[in-house]
Amino acid sequence: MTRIPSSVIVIIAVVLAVLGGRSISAQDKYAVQVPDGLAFSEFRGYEAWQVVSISQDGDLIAAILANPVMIDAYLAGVPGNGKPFPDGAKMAKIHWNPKKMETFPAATVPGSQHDVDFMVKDSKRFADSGGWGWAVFEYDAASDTFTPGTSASKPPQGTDAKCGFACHTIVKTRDYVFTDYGHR
Amino acid sequence: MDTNEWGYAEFAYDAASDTFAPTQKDAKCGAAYHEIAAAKDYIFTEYGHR
Repeated sequence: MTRIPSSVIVIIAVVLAVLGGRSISAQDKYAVQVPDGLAFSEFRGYEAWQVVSISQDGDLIAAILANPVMIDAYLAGVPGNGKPFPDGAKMAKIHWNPKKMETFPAATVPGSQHDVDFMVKDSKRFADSGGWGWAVFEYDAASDTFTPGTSASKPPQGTDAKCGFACHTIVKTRDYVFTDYGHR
Repeated sequence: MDTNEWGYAEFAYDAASDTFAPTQKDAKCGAAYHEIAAAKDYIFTEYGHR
């Protein structure tokens, strides 16, 4: 019988352990969903959406992105022209904890991600919340996982798609959208 | 090229006239500044996790 060298067995064991660990720890963020609310998968591809603007929001810095439907509406003058965004418009707001840039400490740049917030326009589906559905997903850098916002989040989140409605009502005349398209 | 293979440009924007105008006369304007990021191919910005 041919003996397999013990060093080869060790290497195989290490490879299997690493691959197994990955398959267990890697989260499919697109499988995450707010209970009775929006699914992460409704915003698939948001990573490549165009920037609407950036903001500093309390202790966090943020980039606000929008899908092509919403960008086209912005460029046509919405919401400043008094018209609403069309159904299918989607936004993503990515919050980061700020940090000093290592190579240029005078600059403040994104550090670890804090959360990602979404909103989607569907005037029939979300008729009781201004035509928009909202969702917040907190990000944990240590485990590289997203989880739906909870009552402990800032601001607190319910288990539905209305979490942003109360806050966004003060910009009802802008179709519930705070962010302007930044000139570039 | 003597700017580590990168060309640079800066255009100042004037909101009053809604116009852009170059602030430099060549493509070397960022080379010295970006030297401290030489280990990262002269790029400061990292891709932000999202």
